Amino acid sequence: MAECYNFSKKISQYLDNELSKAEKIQFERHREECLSCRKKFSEIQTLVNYMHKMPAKKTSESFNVVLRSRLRKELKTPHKLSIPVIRPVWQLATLCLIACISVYTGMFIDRKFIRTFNLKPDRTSVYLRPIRQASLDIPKSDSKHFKMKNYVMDELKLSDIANMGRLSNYNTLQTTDSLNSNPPNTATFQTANAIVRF
Amino acid sequence: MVKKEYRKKDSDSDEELIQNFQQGDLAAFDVIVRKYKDQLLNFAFRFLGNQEEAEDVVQETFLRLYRNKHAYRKIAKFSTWLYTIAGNLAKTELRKRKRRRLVSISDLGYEEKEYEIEDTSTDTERAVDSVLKEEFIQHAISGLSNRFREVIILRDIQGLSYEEVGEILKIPLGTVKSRVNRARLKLQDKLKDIKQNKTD
Ligand SMILES: [Zn+2]
Repeated sequence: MAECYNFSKKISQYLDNELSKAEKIQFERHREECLSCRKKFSEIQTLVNYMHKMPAKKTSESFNVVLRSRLRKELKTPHKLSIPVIRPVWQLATLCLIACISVYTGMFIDRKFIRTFNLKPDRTSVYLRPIRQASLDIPKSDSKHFKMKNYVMDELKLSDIANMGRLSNYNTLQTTDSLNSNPPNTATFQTANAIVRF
Repeated sequence: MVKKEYRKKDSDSDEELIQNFQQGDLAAFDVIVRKYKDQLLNFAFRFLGNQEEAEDVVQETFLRLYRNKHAYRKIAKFSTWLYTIAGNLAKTELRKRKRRRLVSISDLGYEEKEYEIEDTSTDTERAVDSVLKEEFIQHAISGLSNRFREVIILRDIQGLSYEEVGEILKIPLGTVKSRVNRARLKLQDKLKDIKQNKTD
């Protein structure tokens, strides 16, 4: 059985002429002795031969015309980013770097804001960064149609943030200085820029 | 510019071509396209099993070459560099398709339709080795995971050397060899399954 296992591991190297003379002899001997390995070998050999002869697909006739028009467009709008193919590892690394920077800058955020709405930045991946004073209001009933412009901030739930996250990566939030000094259901906050990822 | 195109010969080495292109010779780009569009298409088609998506991948490959011509360095063989770009794009396309399929399965309730094989052969044609029909193989290939799929296409369909496959996939030669073997064994198993399902 161990011999059969070794045999199956070497089928391709045999077919591609990659075995040493001694290995080749051993391989052929087992092939003679073992019916099931012989069968397996011949199946793989047929398969490989067939694939080598499979008809090649060709580009369609419009290929050049389409490419040309795409290139023309390309020339009209020069690329801001000229990155070769980024491997997934690097994409991940870049994402991590962005996340780290966001978390770092997010450390300046008013803690009260996080406490008030029970946001846990580490668990919800909400990164907040203060930018400037501004006003922003969100109607309670309209969280799905959240827009950037002056809404009355009534209640901001995690679900609202989730909706915002889907609408846009960057939203401006207004955060309070003091909940008590303002009219009910209105909060004045330090403004923050949020990057919400899920 | 058109005349210049004809002056360029396909026999120029790839490295000469890309070098000329890097220096602004657009005719060299045309030669590269002419030389590689069909083999890249075959590669992408075998990967994706769909002509339209495959063409798009090849188009995008050339656009990236155009955009990033200076990213190519002489350390790699030009053809393997191009294959790496096309391969990455094909894999991205597969991921996109998986996402689309997730949506469409829940929406429309179909799943396997995409891979159904039409059997139009007559009884006599349906001989012992009928399982080795192109569509069966294509079907079996699309059942392989990406890492097996890519080695089998590069090695057995595109006919590249182990060294070239290693360079394209950035994996050591020993890994290429063992992976090619495992991929062939798996492919053969898949073909058997397909044959079984056909006769059941
Ligand atoms: Zn055996």
